[in-house]
Amino acid sequence: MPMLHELQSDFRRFIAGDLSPGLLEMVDGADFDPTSLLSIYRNNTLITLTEALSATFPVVRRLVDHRFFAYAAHAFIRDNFPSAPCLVEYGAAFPAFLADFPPAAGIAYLPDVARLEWGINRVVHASPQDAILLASIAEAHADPASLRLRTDPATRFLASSYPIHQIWEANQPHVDPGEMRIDKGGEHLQIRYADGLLIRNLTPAAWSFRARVADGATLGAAVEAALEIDSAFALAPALAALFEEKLIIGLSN
Amino acid sequence: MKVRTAAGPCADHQPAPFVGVGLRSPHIDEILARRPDVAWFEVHPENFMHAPAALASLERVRANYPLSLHGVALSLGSAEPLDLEHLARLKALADRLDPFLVSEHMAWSVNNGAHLNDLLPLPCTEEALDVMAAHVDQVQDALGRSILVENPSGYLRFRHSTMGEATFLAELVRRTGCGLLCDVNNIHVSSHNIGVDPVEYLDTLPAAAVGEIHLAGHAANLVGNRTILIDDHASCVTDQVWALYGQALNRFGHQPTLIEWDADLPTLDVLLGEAAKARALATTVGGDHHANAA
Repeated sequence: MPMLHELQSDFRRFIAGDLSPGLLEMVDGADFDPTSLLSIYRNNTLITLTEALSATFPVVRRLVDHRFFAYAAHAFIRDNFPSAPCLVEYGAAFPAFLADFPPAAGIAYLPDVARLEWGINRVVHASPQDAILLASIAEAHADPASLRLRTDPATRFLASSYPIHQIWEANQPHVDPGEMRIDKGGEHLQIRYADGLLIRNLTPAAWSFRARVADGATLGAAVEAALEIDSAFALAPALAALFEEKLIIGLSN
Repeated sequence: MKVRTAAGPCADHQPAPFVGVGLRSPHIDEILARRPDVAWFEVHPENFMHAPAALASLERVRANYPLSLHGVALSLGSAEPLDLEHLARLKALADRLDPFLVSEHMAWSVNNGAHLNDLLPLPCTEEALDVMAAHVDQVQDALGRSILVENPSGYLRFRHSTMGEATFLAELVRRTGCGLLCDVNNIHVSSHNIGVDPVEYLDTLPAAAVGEIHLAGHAANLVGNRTILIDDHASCVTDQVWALYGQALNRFGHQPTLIEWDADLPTLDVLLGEAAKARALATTVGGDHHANAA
């Protein structure tokens, strides 16, 4: 008698596109072809996971049209089943997949738009955290340059050489994109959710400072990187702004 | 079998609410504004585990209605360990929302760590029963309460099954003390697709364990030159399923009954109309308590 784990492994492989003779032998199709019955489950899995990706990447779907999106999603799903039970956590690898998906190569900005949508998904679903005050830095009694700040998980930083936020805005459901012209350069985005979604385009130096802080760099290293981009970058107001915007939820030495 | 406070829904002996509808996010604002005459709502807990804003809305609904948590992702039938983080999140949600029912499925969705996000079929074997029973025990221990397990919709049979599905579920109840969620539409779908006898199926389920009934619509798809019924929760309950619901009420009494609708979501009024139909039907059949308690 086949063992349950073996059956389930064969079933998973079938959904990924690989039918084993062993699985076929296990199925009593009655009047139906067993493969077509198994396919009901495969189709259902592909449909629901494609819908989950559509919900997370609606602008990508709109940019490529729903048929191409389903084609790309199916190819992605077969090699990237969810590793967690909640579907809002599914799709982290989809932007990188699109970057390497030859049929999508004609739309160079598509992977970065997908990264923006993944970032939006993450901040919208982050648990709210309490911010700390600027005074915490003084209270730490340490060299400020050696401090590392913890940023609110409802904030993400994303840079692109394409105007992805403009593209995203032009493709919201209530907007007619008309004839979209990509005639502007890159963007340095802060994606935030706090009583609503707020996406801001920062200066390259400010973005670099904040992105490095969020990445766990020391304040010293984050400032150094910002100064390399803009020698006039000023730490004090940049640091005060982080706290005023309630972006910092903790610090460590 | 472990002794628990109640195999069915209400450990505190409050009368269970009767007809509820599935709560879907597009309807929440309207429900909060209208406070429709619905006895209770049911949600998939997975939709609220990483969604603080959605959870806040759900808590506003919960303030006015009893709630049931109907899980779809525990994968009780997987021949590998349960996801303990997911189980902990379910426990936290149950503690926060105080649902009157918690349910899951006789199905599996996880293999080698891959979450396939579908209710995949189990063979009715001793091994599968051992797996299900161990996982139901583990979930009930973690939650500190009994859960209901739902019968699946069937599209195929496994040749190596050694017992019928209703017998499998009856044995699961005997071993774990869990309750059952009897999905009448699933029985109808399985009856058409794989030749289950619906009346025999209802008669085999231990009546005293049934703590909830599901009603939903299904689609008829052509496979080759024959139709197969698909449990898609995207339309009204059919006449045949209403008739089978009447038989279920006769056997199980007026158990909490849910109108499920997941795809092609209609207006809230359509769901309320289906709920009214269930209430009307119940005035002619069934009783307030378990009949033929087995």
